[in-house]
Amino acid sequence: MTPEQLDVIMGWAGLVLTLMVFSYVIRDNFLYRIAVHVLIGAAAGYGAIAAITNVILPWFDVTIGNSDAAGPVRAMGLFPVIFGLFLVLKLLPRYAHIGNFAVLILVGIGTGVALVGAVIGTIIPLVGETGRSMGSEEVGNGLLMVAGTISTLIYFQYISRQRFNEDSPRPVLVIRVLSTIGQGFIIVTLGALYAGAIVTSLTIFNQLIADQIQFLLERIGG
Amino acid sequence: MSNFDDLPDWLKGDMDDEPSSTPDDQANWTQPPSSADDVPEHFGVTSALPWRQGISDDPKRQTAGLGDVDWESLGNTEEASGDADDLAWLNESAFPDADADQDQPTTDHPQWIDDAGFEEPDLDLADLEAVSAESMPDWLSGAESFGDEAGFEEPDFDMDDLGAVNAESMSDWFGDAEGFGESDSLFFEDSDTTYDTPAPNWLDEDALEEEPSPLRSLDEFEGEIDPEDLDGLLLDIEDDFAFDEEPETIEPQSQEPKIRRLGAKKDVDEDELTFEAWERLQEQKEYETDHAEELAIQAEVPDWFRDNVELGDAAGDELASILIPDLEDAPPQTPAPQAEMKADYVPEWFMGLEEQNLEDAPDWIKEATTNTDLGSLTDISAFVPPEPEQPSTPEPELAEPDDVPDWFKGIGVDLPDMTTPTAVDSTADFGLPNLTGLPDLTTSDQDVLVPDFMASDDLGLPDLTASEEEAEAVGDAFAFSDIGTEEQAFDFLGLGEDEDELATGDVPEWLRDYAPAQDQLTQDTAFQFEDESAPEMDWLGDLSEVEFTDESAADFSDFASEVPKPAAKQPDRDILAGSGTLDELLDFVEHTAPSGLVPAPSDRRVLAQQSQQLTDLFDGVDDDLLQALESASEKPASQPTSEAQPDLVLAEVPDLIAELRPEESVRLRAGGIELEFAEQSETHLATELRNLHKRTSVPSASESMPTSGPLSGVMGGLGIVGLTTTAGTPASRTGLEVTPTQATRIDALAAILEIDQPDDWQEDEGEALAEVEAKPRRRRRQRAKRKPDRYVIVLLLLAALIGPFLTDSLHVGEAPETQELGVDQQAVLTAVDTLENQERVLIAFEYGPTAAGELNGLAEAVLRDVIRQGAVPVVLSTNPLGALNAQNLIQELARDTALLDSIERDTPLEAGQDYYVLRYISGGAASIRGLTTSEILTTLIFSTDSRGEKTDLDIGTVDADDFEMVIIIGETTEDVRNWAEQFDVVGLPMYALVTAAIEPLTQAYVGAAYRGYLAGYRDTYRYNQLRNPKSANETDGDLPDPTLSQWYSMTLGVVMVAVIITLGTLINLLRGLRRRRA
Repeated sequence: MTPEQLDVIMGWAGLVLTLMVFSYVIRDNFLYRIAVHVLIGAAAGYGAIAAITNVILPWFDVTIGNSDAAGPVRAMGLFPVIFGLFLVLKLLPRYAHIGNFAVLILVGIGTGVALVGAVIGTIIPLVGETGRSMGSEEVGNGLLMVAGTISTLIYFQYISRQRFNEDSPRPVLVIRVLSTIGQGFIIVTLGALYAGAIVTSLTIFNQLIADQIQFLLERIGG
Repeated sequence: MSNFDDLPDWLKGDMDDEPSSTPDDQANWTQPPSSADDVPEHFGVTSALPWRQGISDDPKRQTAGLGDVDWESLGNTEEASGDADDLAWLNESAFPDADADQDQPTTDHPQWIDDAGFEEPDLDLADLEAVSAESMPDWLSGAESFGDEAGFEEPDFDMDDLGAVNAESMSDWFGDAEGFGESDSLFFEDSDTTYDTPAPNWLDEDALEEEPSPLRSLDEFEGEIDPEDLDGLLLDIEDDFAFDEEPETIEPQSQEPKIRRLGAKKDVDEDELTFEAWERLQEQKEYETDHAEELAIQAEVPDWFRDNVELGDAAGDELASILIPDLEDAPPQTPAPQAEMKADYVPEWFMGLEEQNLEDAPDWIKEATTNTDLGSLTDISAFVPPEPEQPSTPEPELAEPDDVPDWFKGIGVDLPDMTTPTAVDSTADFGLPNLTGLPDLTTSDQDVLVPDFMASDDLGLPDLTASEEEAEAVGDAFAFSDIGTEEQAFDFLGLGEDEDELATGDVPEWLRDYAPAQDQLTQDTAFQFEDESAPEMDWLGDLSEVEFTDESAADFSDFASEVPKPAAKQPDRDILAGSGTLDELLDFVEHTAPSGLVPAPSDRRVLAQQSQQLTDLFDGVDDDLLQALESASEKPASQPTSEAQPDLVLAEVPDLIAELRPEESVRLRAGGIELEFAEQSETHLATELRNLHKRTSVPSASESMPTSGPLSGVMGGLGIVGLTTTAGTPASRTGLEVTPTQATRIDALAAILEIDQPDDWQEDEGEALAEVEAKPRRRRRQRAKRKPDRYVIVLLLLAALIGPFLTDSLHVGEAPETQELGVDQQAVLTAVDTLENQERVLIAFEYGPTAAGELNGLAEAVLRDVIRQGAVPVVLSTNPLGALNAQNLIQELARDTALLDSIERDTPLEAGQDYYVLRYISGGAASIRGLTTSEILTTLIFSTDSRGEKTDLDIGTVDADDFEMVIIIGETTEDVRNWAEQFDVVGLPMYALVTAAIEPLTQAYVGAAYRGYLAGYRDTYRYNQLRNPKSANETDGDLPDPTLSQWYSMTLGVVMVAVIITLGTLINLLRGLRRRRA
């Protein structure tokens, strides 16, 4: 089978799957489910193969299977294997506690990396940028950014006060005002994100339509 | 049975002092009470107690209070006066000694007892086992500690207020107690019963001196107690000692006849009652007033009859509360609704036979009958044997039909000719009546009725045969085996065992009139009893004589299936004719031999009928009915029967009692009566109880060690018991709960009457449910509600998106500006433009197929420009699908002719030389950080490409020398953020290629992490216009430029979406406003 033939087959398969997905417009049906299952299955299968071929096997080749490698290097190659076995033990209720060690490492390392990155890579730079903007001609943007950030954060807080003669606590007036402002910022942000998502979706759709039409035209019109 | 030794001493008459009382104040308890109001309560004793003064409303016992008691006059024998004869019961002579012969009844009983027609009981008191102390109230059993027993409350009085009643005067004032009657027996209805139970110690002078008792405080009273002041006090003593709460007594089962308290109606002090009790009392009084006549009739009905006879409506109302209401215990008994009554054993078809036409009756019935009136079936004359020629004894005066108690008439069952039974052992249990002097059934004009219980199948009546040889005396209808000695049987009517003792006055008048003379017993009579010498019929013979076997006990419910042994020389028709009861009729129809029934030869009742009775019986019977009977009569012939057809046992024991009764001897004590029951095996339990027992049986040790689950391998653990309860099943369709025996009878009747019964009317409803559950119910898929607005929106969007590709007229708006880009976008163009030959560019494909439609074009545009610049793109991805997509994309570019022409190459680009596509990197953010911190990881990543081939990339940790720029292509914010946070190399610029959706979020990282970005198709179009004009797709024909068409398509689509959203918002707003107004 030549590549051109494969392209034709893949083109027709793509067209059919596209129509099957579009059938969801009418209602949920088995065709749509088939297309979704095909996508998920293919992605999961390729992901498993990619993980084995691109991660596990090369790791063994470099560490355990590398005769030229030093002893510590080769020993270090066993760590992923051991941790993997620990995670497998999580399936057995009797030995599930052993797999907690591997989970500990994963969660701990991931949390540390994410935390450091969030602080160093996001919070500090953004605060710095905001501060720099205050001193420039974009002070308005800076103030707007500060106000929006603060009000948005306050919106998710609940600071209230209960008076003596009241039955239930009521939020403080300042807090209520800032929460309302923050709510406005949130609404605008979500609206902008939604609009961008619509644009992205439309872009993808029309790109797909264009490819399919072109395919049909090439097949029909020659 | 009570032990008369346990009777209180004061009942024995140990008092030395003669009682004295004021005749005017004392109730003449020795005389029969003229009215209910005159009947004193509490034996006329408690009211005289000092602490009872001032409590009762009875003027006789009314006193202001205990403080006003003239204690000085109490026990004053000089002042006290009264009829010593009234207190003769206190005298020793009134009561026999404990060792006296208990068989000899005392004659010192009040006259009114004799007038009531009750005979002295024939009790062998010596044989009666002693009642244990627990079963008797303390104050009767002489408990030392007064009021300490469970359920007994201390009298509500202050011992300090009792006054100066001393031990010496106690006997005086107690001797002056009024209102005590011999009839106020606590234990037995028969007032003639003597007791040897000693008086409580606290009433005994010696005991007072020896043992402390609450009444000792009476010594503190000064002076003597005036007996007059104690009038009525003793009557209320019981109120003091009881009890707001009911004492713990064993309540007999409903089938057991309750002990009847004769006469004594306690005059309840309403002031002491709680509201609920007072309310009940008022209701009871009201009921008594409204049903005075009925109650009087009910009083004559024995308890055993009431409990076991299924009566018709009329009798049922009367017997609904046959028990004399115990004012102390129960609230007024209202007539039980008919629905609560058991199944009426008299079927409707039987009741309505007189309305049937003989023409329609089966042939065999027609032949058997000469009377065209089916009503003769219910004619009692058919059951009446012919009169004897020469009655040796004068016929008793036949009771007019009106003289028959209504409850007896209302049974609705015609009695066959009944002969007088033999004298029943009066010691039958449960006070079963020793019915002597039963009505004379020899007269055809007389309505002879058979109690329904006799026809009841559940009661296990014996099979009635027509064989004379098998005729035996009837034992008790409710015989219980292993019941004990005869002496334990209680004849609550006091009829006695000896025939001679049976007096006409002992039997109710209505019943007496039906008692034929002794010599009128013939074999032709309906019932023959074993002991023909007995002058009277006794349905309820000696229970102990019944051989009660397991099988017979278990099969009592199958009585209907018993095969009536036909007469040897009589046709089946005669047998049927001979049966005067419904039981026999059904037995004849069913004709199934009982299984395991072991007869008690001594306790069989023989039904002897004459053919003439049969003829009269079936006069006017429906032809179909007769045919059914005739066909049913053929069944026995087909069924194999043993030669020696077993005699059927006299199943006197009701089915319910038989099932619940244990086999081993178990003693039951209730109200001073002790009974013995025989235990049963498990097989005798009801089916439901047996199944419950099996389900809840504890598993063995081996079973308690599960092999799976959380307790696997654990020894000794509790076994897992299945659910003992099952989900509730709906009631049967018919709404009736019937026993298997009743179901069999109903089927037989239905077969006779050709009534179509529901097939599963008797089946367990659970079976039907199981069938339904077994069939997997096909779930009906609900059709989704069509939404036309969705279709309209889809069509509009399709038109807006597809139209610009087909025609230029839908190119709405302007093309994106390509002359002037934004600062962030321009930075990307500038950075790519400064790339030189063989400089490596790290490109991260962090998007999957979901965003490929938007980002592929942008990635291709940038890659094309990077390759055209002569740089070497190094592609990697933390997304496995991104790496695959990147490989496909670059492979297409590697073959793109326009690109190759732009770089003046004839051969396609080669992987590993002109471009590198590395393998998928696992680990996410940690791997990205490892690119700059971990040499091992970096070496591992860059040493091998996606094909598995070695590369020449000698990179330890990524730094500014290895790459000129880094391009991140991501579809989500996380992709952009991870690279921005984790990959921070000084001097190595990063640029982002993102979708339009995350463009706002990407802008936040511009300046801090990224130097510029490109977003969406807008930047793709502009980048291509500016940097790759030669790579633009060209189409042939009249179709618009696809690239531009795509832009206009996206633009028109956005406009259409905005219009639809706006329109929808306005419509929903208007609808909301309309709802608010509504």
